[in-house]
Amino acid sequence: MLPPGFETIEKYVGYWDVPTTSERWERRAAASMDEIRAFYDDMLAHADQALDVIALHDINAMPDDVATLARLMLALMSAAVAIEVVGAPRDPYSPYPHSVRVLRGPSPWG
Amino acid sequence: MNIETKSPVPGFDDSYTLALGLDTGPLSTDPYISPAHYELERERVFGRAWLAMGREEQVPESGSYIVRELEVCNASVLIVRQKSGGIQAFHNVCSHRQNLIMNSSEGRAPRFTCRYHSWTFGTDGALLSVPDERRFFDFDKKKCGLTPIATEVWQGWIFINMQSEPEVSLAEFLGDFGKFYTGVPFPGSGHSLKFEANLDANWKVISDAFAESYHVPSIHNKTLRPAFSNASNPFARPIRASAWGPHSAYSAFANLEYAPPENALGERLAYRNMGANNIISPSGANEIDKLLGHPSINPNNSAEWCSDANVIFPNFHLDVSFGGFFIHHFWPTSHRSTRWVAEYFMEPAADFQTRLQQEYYAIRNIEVLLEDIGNTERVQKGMETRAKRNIYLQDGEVIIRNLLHHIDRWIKADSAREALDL
Ligand SMILES: [Fe+2]
Repeated sequence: MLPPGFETIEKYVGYWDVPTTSERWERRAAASMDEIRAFYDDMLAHADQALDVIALHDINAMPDDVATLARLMLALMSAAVAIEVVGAPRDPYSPYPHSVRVLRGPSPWG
Repeated sequence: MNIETKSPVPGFDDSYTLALGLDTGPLSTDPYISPAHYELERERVFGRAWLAMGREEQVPESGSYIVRELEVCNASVLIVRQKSGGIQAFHNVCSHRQNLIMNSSEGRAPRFTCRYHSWTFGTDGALLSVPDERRFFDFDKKKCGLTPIATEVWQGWIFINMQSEPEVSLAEFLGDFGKFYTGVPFPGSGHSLKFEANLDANWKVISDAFAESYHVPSIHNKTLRPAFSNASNPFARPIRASAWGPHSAYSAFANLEYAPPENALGERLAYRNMGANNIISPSGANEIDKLLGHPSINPNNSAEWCSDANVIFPNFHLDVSFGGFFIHHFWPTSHRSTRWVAEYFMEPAADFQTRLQQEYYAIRNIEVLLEDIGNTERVQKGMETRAKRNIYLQDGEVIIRNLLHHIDRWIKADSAREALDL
């Protein structure tokens, strides 16, 4: 569940809210460009509002609904690299599935 | 050294390779594909050089330990913070029937107990207790402690040496590079973004992928080229190269005009509190000002500077960029396989905007690293076809040449002291 005011992006929680940086990369790599684009557009439309709500809370002590919103914003970063840099869900010249393990991501939700 | 080349062919006025006194010819692929060469590296390079293992912050308190597998030396290494405050490495091998003692890669323990028969050792390696001890014959517990491995710490970095009595000290081994980098602070060294992969390629193929910027406009066409090359430096030539015996460094070029494109709204969101130069920065600028202000970082004070890559012989890269510092370890597991570990050090985010920026950095970095290491197994296969027996290195690939030159030196030298010219 997301905080009030974010009902229109609630539908993305099921797929895009995953615990770690590595899984956020994997979710994006496994999605279609249309799915990534839809998520990206909707999230950007709510980004300022979301960052305002998130900023009201300590990063290490967020209520569950705000933490879910925060992880969706992190997933937006993964989508943004696909849309703005790679131009595809994943680089067609890089190995996939690949053997790089993210042993530890940034903290929290890494 | 100026990157403006006056003639199409590098000469003494503008060649890093010539300035460092290195040859300029093609180089044999033998060091990358020959099992016999690998055996020589094991004995004469990895068996004699000081090897960087980690940061002292990884063993913060008495009894804190890390375990590292060192396949290239047939060793399992247990590194322990001592009660005295020092750090000591041991073979992670029980004195009884030689079982490997500790299973987890890190932790804290007041003593180390082998699970096989519960022989128990102190953090200083002494054998403390043996169940049913009196049924052993002529038994002297004092002779049955853990086998120590020579350990020294330089600037917070833990090094070990597999020689039972190292010929050279760590200070002698690091030589003028060690002096040059003394006093460099390492902010955020308690936490890292950490990657690991097992790759079917010789360890030097992986190391080489991070030892030059010639590849940046090509293989990193989308991810890095816009920020790290421009019309004045389209081939991302290095803006400096140095060598201190086997250790070496180069500085990479930054395109000062780079800013996230107008329509890169996600990237702009990530970096909205930052200047344009921080495209690959994981953290805010304040805590790294001291690092970047050290005279040995960007030593030529080039305006168009993005990073220094320091190659510490044989298999450790210690790199600094606007965002802080990061490292690569290239651990050989056979002549054609490598465990690669990369760590990007950063403080845990104190606020969500910083965390968002770190996420963008981490994700973009995964793309870059996949481009770098995704290619290495293809390089190995190409070399193993033996269709060609030489590689060609241009001036900007001088750091690779320095490494190959010194590996050859260490293999031919009768002692580490001779290899280092001491
Ligand atoms: Fe690269």
